[in-house]
Amino acid sequence: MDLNESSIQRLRLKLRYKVLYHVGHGCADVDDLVQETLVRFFRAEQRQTIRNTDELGAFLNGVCRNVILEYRRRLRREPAYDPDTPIPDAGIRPEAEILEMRDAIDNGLRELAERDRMILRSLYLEGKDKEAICKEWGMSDAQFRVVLFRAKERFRRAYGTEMKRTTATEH
Amino acid sequence: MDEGMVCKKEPIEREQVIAKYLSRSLNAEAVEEFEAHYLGCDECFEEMRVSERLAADLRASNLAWKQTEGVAVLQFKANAELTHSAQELEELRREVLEQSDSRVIIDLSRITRIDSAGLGQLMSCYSHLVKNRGALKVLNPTPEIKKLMDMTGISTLIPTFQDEREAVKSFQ
Repeated sequence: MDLNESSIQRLRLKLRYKVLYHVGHGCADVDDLVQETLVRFFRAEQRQTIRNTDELGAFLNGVCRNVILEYRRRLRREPAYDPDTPIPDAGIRPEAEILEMRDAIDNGLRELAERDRMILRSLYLEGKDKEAICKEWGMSDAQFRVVLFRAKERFRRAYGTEMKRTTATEH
Repeated sequence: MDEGMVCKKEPIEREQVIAKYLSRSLNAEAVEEFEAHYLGCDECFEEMRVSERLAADLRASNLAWKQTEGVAVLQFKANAELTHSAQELEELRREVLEQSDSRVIIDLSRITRIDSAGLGQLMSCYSHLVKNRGALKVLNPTPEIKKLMDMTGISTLIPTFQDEREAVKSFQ
């Protein structure tokens, strides 16, 4: 397996998403959990104990799940400071750099029609099915597809432009 | 959903899996399978990140103000929770504390769940408004939320109403 610095950074970012999804942003140990997962993963790789190298994602996921489970068990045994504080189950929240680009993205969202915003909210925030949304708004599959991908494209563009601007400012 | 299946889906179906993952509507098994997939798939991970940002921004714009007879009414445009981990909690605090109106009604009709953190946030909004010689009223809480407000005594400080006109009138 070819793991260069950039692919390791990529794995770190993906693991961070998974860990944050399960332990929440209130957890101060997110980076430690990611690091521990990577250490175990590389150890297994060095010892060549990964049986199916075509499914590294599944293997990495299993390692990360164990690290999170052990962490939760440890917290139950040795509560850090307040035993009543549960491990928060926050959804993934924007990272710092995303907050910085919020203005650009807000502009993109403002350009969307109110109806489109409501449809996207139903999908992303309320977890409704496409069928239910189409029925609610009296729209066809094709119309739904247009609303969804137009918004994503707009958002992707706003994000990409802002990334370029930020990078240019930094240099 | 098996390994690689997300990529093979129609883009719209993949987006539905992503949306359900982000809104926590997938069951535990499907969450595991999707995570195992994106950890090994850059394309799906990128799609998920873009959708996550879109969802985060939609969540942030979930609050709207309207003015009724000199009273500011804050409404949630979509269902939300006011719980320890919910982003709406921070948005609510920011909206109430950073605006100039001191007579405020918060419409809770779209709030499906509240916990101690949410009740605490209502109390800090209340304190802020009272300090500014204003008041806070709450509109349309669900019976569960109303019960919690009664049990904790918060409803003695923050009156609840089922009718917006009555709530507005109570400021006069």
